[in-house]
Amino acid sequence: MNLSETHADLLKETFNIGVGSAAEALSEIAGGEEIILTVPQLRMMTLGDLGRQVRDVSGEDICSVTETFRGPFSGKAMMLYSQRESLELVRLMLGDMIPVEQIREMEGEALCEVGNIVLNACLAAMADMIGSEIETDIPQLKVGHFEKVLHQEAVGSDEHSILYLRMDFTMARYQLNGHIGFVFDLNSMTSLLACLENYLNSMLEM
Amino acid sequence: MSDLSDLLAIAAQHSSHGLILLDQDLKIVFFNAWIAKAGGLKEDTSIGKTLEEVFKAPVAPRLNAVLNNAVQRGQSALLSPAFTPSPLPLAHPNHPDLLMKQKVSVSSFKKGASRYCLIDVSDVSLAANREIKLREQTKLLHQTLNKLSHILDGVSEAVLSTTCDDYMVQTVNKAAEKMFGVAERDLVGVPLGRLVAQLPTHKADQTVSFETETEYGLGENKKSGFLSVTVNSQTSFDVLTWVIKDISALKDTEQTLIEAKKIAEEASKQKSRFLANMSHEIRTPLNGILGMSDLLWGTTLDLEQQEYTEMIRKSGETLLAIINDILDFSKIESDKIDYDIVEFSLTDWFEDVIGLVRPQAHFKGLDLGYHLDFPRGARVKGDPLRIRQVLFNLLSNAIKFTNEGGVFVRLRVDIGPDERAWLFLDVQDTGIGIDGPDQEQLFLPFVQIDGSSTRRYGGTGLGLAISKRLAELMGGDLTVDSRVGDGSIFHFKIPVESLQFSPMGRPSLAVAELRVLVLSDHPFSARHLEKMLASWDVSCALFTDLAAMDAAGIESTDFHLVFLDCAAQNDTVLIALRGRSAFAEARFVLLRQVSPTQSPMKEAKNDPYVVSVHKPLKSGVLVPLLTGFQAPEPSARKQPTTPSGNSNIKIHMLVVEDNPVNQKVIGRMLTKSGFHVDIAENGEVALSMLGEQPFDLVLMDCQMPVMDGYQATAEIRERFAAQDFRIPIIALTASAMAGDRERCLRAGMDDYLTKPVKQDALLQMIKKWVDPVLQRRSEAGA
Repeated sequence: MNLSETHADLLKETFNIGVGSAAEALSEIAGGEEIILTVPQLRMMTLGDLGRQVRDVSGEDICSVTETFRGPFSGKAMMLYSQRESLELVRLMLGDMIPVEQIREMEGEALCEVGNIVLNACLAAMADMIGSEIETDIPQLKVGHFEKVLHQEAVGSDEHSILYLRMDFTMARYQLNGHIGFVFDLNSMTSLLACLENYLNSMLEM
Repeated sequence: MSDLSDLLAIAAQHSSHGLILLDQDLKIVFFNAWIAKAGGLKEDTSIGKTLEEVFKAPVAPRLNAVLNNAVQRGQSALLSPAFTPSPLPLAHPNHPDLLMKQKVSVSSFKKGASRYCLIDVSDVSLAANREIKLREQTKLLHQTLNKLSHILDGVSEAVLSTTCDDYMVQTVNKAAEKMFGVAERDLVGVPLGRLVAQLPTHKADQTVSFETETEYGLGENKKSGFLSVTVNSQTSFDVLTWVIKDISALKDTEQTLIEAKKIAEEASKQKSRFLANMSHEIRTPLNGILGMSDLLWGTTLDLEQQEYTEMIRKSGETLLAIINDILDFSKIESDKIDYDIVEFSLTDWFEDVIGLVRPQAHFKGLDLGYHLDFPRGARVKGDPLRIRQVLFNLLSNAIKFTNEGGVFVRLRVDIGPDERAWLFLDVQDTGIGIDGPDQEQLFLPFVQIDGSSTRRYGGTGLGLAISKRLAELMGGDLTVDSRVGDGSIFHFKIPVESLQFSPMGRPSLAVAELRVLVLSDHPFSARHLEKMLASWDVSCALFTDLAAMDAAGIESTDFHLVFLDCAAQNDTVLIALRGRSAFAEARFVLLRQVSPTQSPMKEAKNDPYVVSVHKPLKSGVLVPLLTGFQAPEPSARKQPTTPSGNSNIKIHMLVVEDNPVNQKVIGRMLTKSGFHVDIAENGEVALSMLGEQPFDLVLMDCQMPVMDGYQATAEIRERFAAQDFRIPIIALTASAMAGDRERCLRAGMDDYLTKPVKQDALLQMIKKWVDPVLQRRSEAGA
């Protein structure tokens, strides 16, 4: 299933608002360091496409932060970084707040929190757009080979569509390349499209 | 339904996490026991209040944002302790001053139309601490491992670990790679037996060391060498540790050292043998000299002849002492010299030494004087022979290096700063002198100051070194003050054990009233006389010659005693003075050098007012001069003591001796004491003579041609073992080396005398062994 150009533009705009507020929240917990999040790319794809895309950009060993969401449409939201870059991201954010030797045991939870903030912000922006609530659950961290990690997130992959976003994280002189995916089943996908159509119509009516 | 709700409420109380349930307005609906305990919350006062109200402190802003999101948007969230260490103001479980480190998750949910959020808190303070500790320990472990591997790679020995059963290599260090010539990856997994041809077998819980000459290495890198292999096994570890080193170079060095030591020991033995031989060679003729002078002493001699004979004997004894000291030189060097501490009279001892060097000094025309600066009759305890050795050496040197002028000695006894009695000896000469830098060289063995002086002055260069070492070994010191052209003063001091003054009777004459004139043109002699007279409280008028005396205008004084020391002018001065009235009652003492060229004055021969004495004047000679003006009596001739009177004639002795002079000396000594003596020139002759007739005693020389004393004694003991009478055999040996006595006794001899044989010692020894024989004979006769 594909998005029309209009739908895609609408979502892109929505998510940029979302990651903008997420960046603000992250900057706050990182002690005021400037953080810039951008979404340069957005498209629909299958699970197989996602796997290739992630491997091409981030390599085989990845970390994912996943949370389920419920609302007019339901599914799983996930943020993916290569293991190396997720570690770097956390270290950049923690800076000299805590001693280096303590980072390792906390980096999983820290990454989880970062993912939670980003995903919650994106979903909140979407909820605001459609004028409805989208509830989220507590996020979970998964570490491992990309195929294994992705397989756990989607059951019966062919029936699922994935709304994929490239998300780049920039802090100080560093730029890290990550991914955001929203996994929808067929019903949810239909609902999403309907919601987008409603929003566009309401906009046009004004 | 209500039952389940109660049950869940109870279950929530038992949770190991803190749980707080908030309503849509973020007011507290429920909290469990964990929170009550951690936050000190009470149920009746907390329900329906906000978090900040019940905790009385602000919660973290991040938690506030999350809670607002939860109730307004339904979003759940997680707070990592990395970013927000303490979302709720809870105290640390162990440190009340610190905040608890928490991991908080906020879950949002709806019941009907109402939205709630559940805060789940877990304490990660301890977990974090444990993590930190574990991290520190891991770091330490890494450092230790690094250090150990650094050490292992630094050692020069190959260190390997292997399995216990087939010695399969597991780990190696750098030295092992180098030793076996292959990299670590090629060593691991190889049985050690392939690397080293011969290996020891390990023993459980032991360290086995092993040295072997063997082949080692892999493939092309095979070498052979002497290996030291150590294998350690500990049952607690399933691995063997091997330490291997090629010690070929060490072994080579060891071998070289062993050979060098052997050679050195052999050389040392040869030196000892040489010394023993030299000792024998020198002692044999010396025996002759001393023995003959003893015999000469027993003949009718006039005073002068007696004095010369005495000098021969004393010179011989000094020569003997020198030989002993050269033999002792190695002992001195290793500080193993023996002392014989006895009490002795300082004056007698000193004048004996002066007597020894007097002829030397007078032969060179040198003036010899001394000053005994201590109470008359002083006796001290010390080793007179060793001190004499030093003094004799200093005097000989002074005379040797002085060609004009003389030598003056000052002997003083005083209490030192350590409250002990010290003997101070200053030997002053007017010789060539020594410059500062050379003075340090002076006391080194085998060194003489200048190559040319070796030829000019002779000597071994050993004397001062021995003297210095002796002085130091006796706790004293020997130093020198000198300048080239100004002569030298040697200062010798040693502590003496005790100081006694024997009350020596003063002469009955009121000598203090004695008026004494000294005319002497020798400054040292004049000082000598003056000091010696002063020690008897006698003052004197002292002039260099007649003209000086006349110039002083003491013509009118009557003199009792006049000492003339004007060398060749003595005769003329004597005649001149005797013509004057002031000297009508005066007695004259003519001091003369002992010199073969100077004939005794004819005129003085029968003149009761004139007496001649030798220079330097001895204190023993001075006393009769002061008191009664009698010529000094010749020293009482000691008759040799005969052991058992006439009974000696019945004693039949066999002297076994190869040297004709010694045969004669010993033979004469014995026959003069009345013994019946036969001579055998070697052991074999002695054996046949003993077989032919009975003897009472054998004096056995040890070193003889044909058959030596040891063998002869052994044969005698064997051949005459059956006889009732075991004949005493006394060894006469010229070798004074340690161990000789034991060798003689082992050979079957009964006693031991060192050559040169002295008459007194010989007769005493014979008496010791002959008296029992005589006694038994008289008992048998009775």
